[in-house]
Amino acid sequence: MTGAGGLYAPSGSFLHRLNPSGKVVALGLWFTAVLAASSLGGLAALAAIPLGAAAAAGLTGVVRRFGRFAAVLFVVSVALWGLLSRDEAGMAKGAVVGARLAIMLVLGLLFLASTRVEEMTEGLRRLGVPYTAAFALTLSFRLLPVFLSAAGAITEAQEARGLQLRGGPLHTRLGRYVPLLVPLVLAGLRSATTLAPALESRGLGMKPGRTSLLESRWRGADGLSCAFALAAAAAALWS
Amino acid sequence: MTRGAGEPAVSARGLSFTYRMGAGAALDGVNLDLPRGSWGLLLGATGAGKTTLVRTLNRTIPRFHRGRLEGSLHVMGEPTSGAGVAEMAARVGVVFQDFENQLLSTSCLLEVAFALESRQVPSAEIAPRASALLGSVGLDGFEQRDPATLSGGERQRLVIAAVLALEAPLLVLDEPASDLDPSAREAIYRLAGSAPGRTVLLVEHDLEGVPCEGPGFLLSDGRVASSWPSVPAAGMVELSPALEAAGVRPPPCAALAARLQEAWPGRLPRPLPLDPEGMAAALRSAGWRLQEAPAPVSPARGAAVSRCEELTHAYPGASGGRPALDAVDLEILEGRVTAIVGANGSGKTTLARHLAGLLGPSSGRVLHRGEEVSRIPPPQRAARIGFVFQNPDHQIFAATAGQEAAFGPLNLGAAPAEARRRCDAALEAVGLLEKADCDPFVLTKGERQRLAVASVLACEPSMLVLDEPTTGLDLREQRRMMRLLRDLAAAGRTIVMVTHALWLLDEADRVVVLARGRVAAEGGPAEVLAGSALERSGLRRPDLALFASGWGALPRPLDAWAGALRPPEAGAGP
Repeated sequence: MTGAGGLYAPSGSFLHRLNPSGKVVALGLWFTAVLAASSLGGLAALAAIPLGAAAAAGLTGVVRRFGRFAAVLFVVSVALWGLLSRDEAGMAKGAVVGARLAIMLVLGLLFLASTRVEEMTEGLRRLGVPYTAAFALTLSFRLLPVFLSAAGAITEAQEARGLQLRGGPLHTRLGRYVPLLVPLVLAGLRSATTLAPALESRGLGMKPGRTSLLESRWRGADGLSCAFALAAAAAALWS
Repeated sequence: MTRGAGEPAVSARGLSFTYRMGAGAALDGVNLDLPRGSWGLLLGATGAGKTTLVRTLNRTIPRFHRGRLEGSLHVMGEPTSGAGVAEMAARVGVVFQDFENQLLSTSCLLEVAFALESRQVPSAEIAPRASALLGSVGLDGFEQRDPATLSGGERQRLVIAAVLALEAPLLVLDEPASDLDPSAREAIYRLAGSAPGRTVLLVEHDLEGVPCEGPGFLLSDGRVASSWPSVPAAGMVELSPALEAAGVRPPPCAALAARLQEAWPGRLPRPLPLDPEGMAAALRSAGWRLQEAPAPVSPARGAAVSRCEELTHAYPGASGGRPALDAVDLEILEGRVTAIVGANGSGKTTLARHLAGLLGPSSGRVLHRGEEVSRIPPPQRAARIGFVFQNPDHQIFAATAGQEAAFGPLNLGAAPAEARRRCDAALEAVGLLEKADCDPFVLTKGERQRLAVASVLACEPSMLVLDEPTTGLDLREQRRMMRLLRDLAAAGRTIVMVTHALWLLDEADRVVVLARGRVAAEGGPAEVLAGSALERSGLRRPDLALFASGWGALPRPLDAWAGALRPPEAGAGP
């Protein structure tokens, strides 16, 4: 049983309580800052922000789960740039790109861990994105847990018939994934084809507008968070 | 009042539909009228066209399922042609059979709120109304639960609440009871019929416990084989042979009355109540006798092949604090069919998974022939204990049924010739040998379910654990599956099945009743059906078990009742 496969960690931290529209805007600004920062020192300062926020919000577990992946991103980037350019400047460039990727990964994780899919949809809608477009944009996050739980069920079913995934040479190991991939792809296709009629049957697009269960009041903290992100982006752009 | 207020809720004339990829017409000239405010039944076996008709009602045919649609269809007095699916959702709320695919939210509250938001219910009213709807389907306190963490039956109730939130004047329930225990399904019927003025169309193939006084339409091969405006008292008795012939299970008392009527024409008391206790009392006071004493029930004996000792299982992160299984002690007897029953969420599937070694206990242990089952490496385990999952589509991947069945033995290292032999034997056992070269996805749901059994059988395990092997199957397929399991037990295999179909319990040797993670009762089927454990566990006793109580006799299958009841002054045989 895989249970909920999504990244959302319900805890009600200060990150959870931020207005989703504000979070979308702030995330965009932080990404801008990270992409604009070109010195390792600047990036180190920027990296402190999400790590500090994670610690303050009690979400370090989420960051740790993907910490190794972030480290791999960084190392691969340094190695690749170093290999291609064969000089120190290249490696430094690689370090900058790797740091950017790793920081954006952590920022994204914090956003996903503290924001429900529905809040993302609603946040985008309040920023003027049409509901169906906002729904479509966030659809992959909705389907991820469904997909993971189907993958879990399929793996279990095939292992119960003696399928062994570990051991043996690579080419035969790849072949063993066929019994997993075929039902998974079919399940994916089925959910893709049944989702649209199910959504419309449940009233999606019944009326031109929608109301929302999720209240999203704009508080002082949201202004602060956006201002902070804006300042960081501005500093990175004009430094 | 909307336009056409006096017209039927549904009116079809010459309605035909052929799926683009389909061989023949799925609907073939259907004419029907469902009056407003009624409780209608749409009946038929698998493949009769029930779901196709439902799809035309909310316009997912032709919007999403392509094909040729002909004839006319009016819903709530207005023509459907040209309408979009979302537009139709204001007129007709549909709970589809594949309810799993209708969930899309991260919490139960948001799931139900979806329709309220679409209807532009003021924001402040959404949470209280969504909570009330959750409570009405028995999901109080589930507001913040993630739908992915619910049991199958709980998820089905959640979808029903989400569709009720549309407050559409016509509610269509396509086999809503398939994953529900009998008392949950009664609650759903009560709820569906509770809104004044709402029209309900219930799609079913099993009428036990279903309110069936209203109009009915019996579909067969895409046509309305028969229909009735309403069922007068005792009318179900006349209808029941036609229903059975079409693969629909009539209310058991009506079916019994029909058999008695045929064996003893004109001897049934009139009027004959068709509720179990009432019918037993009426027959007894009219002088009917129970001819044969029930055969002495020999308690099923045998060596214990598997044993749970103080088995406790708690899912990580599950709220409520109650473990899914709580100190279960249980023995599974060799060569017997053991049925595990219980209300939704009682721990049935968790217990089955433990018996097959797919889960490790939180505490306690599960032994299979003396070995701790979760410690047996998967390949060896597969050769000893087979597990058939509820959804056959989660395992079918091969291009032909034969290759699918051969997958297990080949995994276990059998030589191709030996794999072939085992695969043929398994396919023969499930009655699919002649379809060995078919693409599994052209098989019916029942055939795919049997293919899943065959693919596990081919590993030649001595014990087979099945999770809901009859869910989603029509009556013929359900009976066929039970016969298959009986045959396998007769050949010496140990069978454990999780089921909601209490009417199939007669076919089991032993019944284990679970309630809130504990064993509430275990014993032979007659003993369990006669006792109060089912009711105490939140289940409803089957009609024929209640009928048996009315006679002070042990429960037995329908045909045994028909053979054992005698009218006054009749001899030993007709």
